Amino acid sequence: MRLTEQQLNHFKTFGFLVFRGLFSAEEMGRYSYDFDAGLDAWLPLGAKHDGLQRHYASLMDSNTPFVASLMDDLRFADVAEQLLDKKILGIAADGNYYVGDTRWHPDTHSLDYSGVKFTIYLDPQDATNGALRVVPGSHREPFHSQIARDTEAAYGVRPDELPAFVFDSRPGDVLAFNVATWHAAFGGGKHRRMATLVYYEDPENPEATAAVQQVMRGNHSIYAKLGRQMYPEYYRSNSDPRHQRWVRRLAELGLLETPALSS
Amino acid sequence: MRLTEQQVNYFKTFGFLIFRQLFSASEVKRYRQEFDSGLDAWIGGSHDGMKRVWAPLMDSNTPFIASLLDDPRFVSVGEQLLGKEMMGIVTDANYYVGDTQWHPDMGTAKQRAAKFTIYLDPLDASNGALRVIPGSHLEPLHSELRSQLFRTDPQTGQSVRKDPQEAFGVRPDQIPAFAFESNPGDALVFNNAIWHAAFGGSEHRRMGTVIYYEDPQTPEAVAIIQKVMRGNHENCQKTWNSQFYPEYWRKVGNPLHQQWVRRLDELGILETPIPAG
Repeated sequence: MRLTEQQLNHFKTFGFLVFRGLFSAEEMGRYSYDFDAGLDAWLPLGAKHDGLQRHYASLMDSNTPFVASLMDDLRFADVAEQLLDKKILGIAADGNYYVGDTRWHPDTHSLDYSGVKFTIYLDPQDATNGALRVVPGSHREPFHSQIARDTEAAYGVRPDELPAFVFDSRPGDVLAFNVATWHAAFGGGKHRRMATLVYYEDPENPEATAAVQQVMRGNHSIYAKLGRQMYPEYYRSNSDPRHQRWVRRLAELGLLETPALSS
Repeated sequence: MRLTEQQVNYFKTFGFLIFRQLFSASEVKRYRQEFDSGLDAWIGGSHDGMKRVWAPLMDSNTPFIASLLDDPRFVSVGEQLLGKEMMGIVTDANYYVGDTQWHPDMGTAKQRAAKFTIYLDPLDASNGALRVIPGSHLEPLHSELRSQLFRTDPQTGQSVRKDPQEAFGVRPDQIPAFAFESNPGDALVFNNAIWHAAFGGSEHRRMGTVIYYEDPQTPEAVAIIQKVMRGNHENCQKTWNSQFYPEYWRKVGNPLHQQWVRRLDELGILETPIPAG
């Protein structure tokens, strides 16, 4: 999928880009099926999400083939390459049952590398029920570092009063944002279904390499605590040449294997 | 009026700040009366809704509005937000017609100014509420928006507006921004370098402003202010064949106000030049 110059400008300037109706209704049906099956598989056997706390699961295994395949889908992998204007690494396809609000944050502590996150909401969302909000332009300095997590202490306003773009969306819509863009969601229910596809730049200098290694160590530690590998065999054995390059590069960077959690 | 540290932070970070119900109901009533009578007096009748009308309201026939530059709710707040010596520039009024396209009020983020906007009718995103792009008073966003939303005409050398569709693939009203939903009595102050616009407004959208500029301290800053003020004077002369600063405004006894008058005079921007011939 070839992006227009205008779409690239929008992403570069505002730090995000919206794609309306990127998935067909049939695809959203498959997405929803995989999503629920994949997330429920990470709950205790037979249990359903209780709506008390966020539940997260990786969706890169054989039991979620449609979602796992999206990492290689041209609508995402090709678009990520164009948005980052670099070689990329396919990092994750995952899902979340969110509960309530998600406070303001960027997805990275470092601007030494770039990344893009595609967000896919499986239910209609608006400002009142948990739609994603992003602060346009907050992916770049000095604006990026001026934004504070505690909006009441910093600015005297409620978190939902911070000026932002609200991603009103229908199933099938997708928003891609720079991982440095500040984002949040307010008013969500106890079972807000949000999926993501995440790509990082393939780091080519020591600063970017160190930054990617640091953020990936954080990712792996989450999996280690769950006693799982971040990258299952199903992900590693995908034969797509670009995918195989990702696997090789992750291994080269020491980021393929999830270290066992020391007891 | 003392701002909190949080309010100052908000303005620094996002480039604007909101004050809900800054005016009482009786003040809103008075503002409206003076706004309409003052602007209609300049027109010499009623607004026909065909095009925007602008005029300064700093004369004896609009004493309440003229006094706002000296009102602590504005002057004190302006001083705290700009953090430097400043000059009271204008209280004015506009009958807007339809949309106002994206623009900053000053062509540079180097020279700071604070503009208070006061809307006399309830507004939301659908009917002409002010929209601002948070953080667009800061570089690199400020200049990037200029390079994306304007181009230089190769023949005239003039800066020409581009359609946001051409720049970003979206309609002007789809540029991501904060819409200032307001009721009469509310005010929003913004850094003049912030990009702002309004869409879906009626043929008679009433907006008043109170404006302060940072007192320029460097030759570069002086040149910027002189250029901007020459534009203001020229506009007033061309439109109304009148002085921008009337006698009534120059004679306000407040010491701070008199300091502004002296400084404007020193900078050569107090008198509206009368065109030759």
